[in-house]
Amino acid sequence: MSDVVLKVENLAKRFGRVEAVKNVSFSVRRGAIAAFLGENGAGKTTTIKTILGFLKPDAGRVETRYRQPGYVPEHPVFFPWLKGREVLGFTAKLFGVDRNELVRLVDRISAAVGFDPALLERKVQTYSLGNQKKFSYLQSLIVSPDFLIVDEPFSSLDPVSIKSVRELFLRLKEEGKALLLSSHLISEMEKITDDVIIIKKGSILLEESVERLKKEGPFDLEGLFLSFHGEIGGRHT
Amino acid sequence: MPVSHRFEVDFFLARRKVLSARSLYVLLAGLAALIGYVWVKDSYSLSFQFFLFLFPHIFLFISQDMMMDEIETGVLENIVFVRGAFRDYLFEKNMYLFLMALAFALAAFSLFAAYGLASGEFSARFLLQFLAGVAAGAYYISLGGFLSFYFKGGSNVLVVIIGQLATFIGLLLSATQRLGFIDQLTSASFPDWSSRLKLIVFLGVLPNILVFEKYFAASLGMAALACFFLVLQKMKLGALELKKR
Repeated sequence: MSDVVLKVENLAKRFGRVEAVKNVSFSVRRGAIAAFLGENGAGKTTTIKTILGFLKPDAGRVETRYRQPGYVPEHPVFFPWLKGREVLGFTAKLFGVDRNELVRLVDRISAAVGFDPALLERKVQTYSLGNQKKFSYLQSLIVSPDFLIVDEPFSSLDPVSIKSVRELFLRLKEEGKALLLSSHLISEMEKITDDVIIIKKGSILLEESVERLKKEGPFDLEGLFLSFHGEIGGRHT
Repeated sequence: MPVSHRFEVDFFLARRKVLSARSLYVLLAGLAALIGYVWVKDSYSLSFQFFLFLFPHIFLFISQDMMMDEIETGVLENIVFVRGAFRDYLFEKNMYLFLMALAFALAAFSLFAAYGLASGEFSARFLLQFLAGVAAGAYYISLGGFLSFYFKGGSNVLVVIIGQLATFIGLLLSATQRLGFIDQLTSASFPDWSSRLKLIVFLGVLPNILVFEKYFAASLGMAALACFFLVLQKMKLGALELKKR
């Protein structure tokens, strides 16, 4: 229990008549990658935005034991009048990262996600979608989060960058950080995940560690996911 | 994180947004051109009165796109605004925008005052007029902020301008039927509740009349009205969620 950095209990969120999330409970542990899987509109982003305080839950609670969260949205949007350097500058100021440390972190993280630091002199809005996503990783990681939430971690990224980001996640995990990754790219998630959380129509269908799943038989995340969605036969249909 | 840094960062964001708005420069240039024209064609004194009457609009112009644009574009769904910090940022914008508009107004006022002091035409009354105008400006910011929850892309400012034009044209077209109210406005004498209520509505639409000496006393009421809209903003922000993208 001491390893748990996030505990979501009976979370519910409704938008008008639509019950986006209902009775959602799961937890995320330190030093592990949790894959948060679900179809479009399953309630992943609503859950994430509620955890981060962008939405207010109608019911339930979010218990946080992390010091500092990091967040990379699916489609990051930045103030259109700001250059990358300025965004990193105010982020560093807000979180008490000094100038030398910022330079060191920018070099290190840029290399890790394949971001060209020369772009920092341009307005972020002029970046390609892929570079905006990489920049969002950069902004989130300079605050040294101990819990990183990423909505669609591989969207807009090319195969080389996907590999880089995947390796970055594994490094962060080794450093003892907790990661909650919401993704459609199940094949990529299968390579790195430690825990699986499957959500469908706003309800959690499965929360299990990969270690435990492997004990039940050969681990096939895609098959597992599809079995919950009635696409193929399997042990969970 | 240190609170001072929070203020510093939020002020930086608000300031950069204002300074990047080209329409504001156009409006400020238009205001300066009008006042300069009056000075050249007439006198320092009349142009100073023009300035004192019109400068509260700087506060109105600066409140364009104050809330909804940022709420809906998704820029607030950022690591710096987690744990509800986006609500504080949006509310604090009232203060930052007020300070920025005040800086613009103060710079122009200082030019007028310096010239007036040098030529011996400056009067202490001008300072009181300026302070009353600042009260009107504070009202404009809080009203503009509240309206920007409902009107996007600078139309919060447009709504106020249209309201002022409609009031002005309405008064002109119905001047013969409304001589009583116009008399009351010019004499600042409002004997009954009905006329006082009309004044409150008129002040709500065109608070700039506070800069006339007869209306100085209403500045406190205007400040109260500004606080009322701030309370409404706070209530809106308290319930605000970042839903749309």
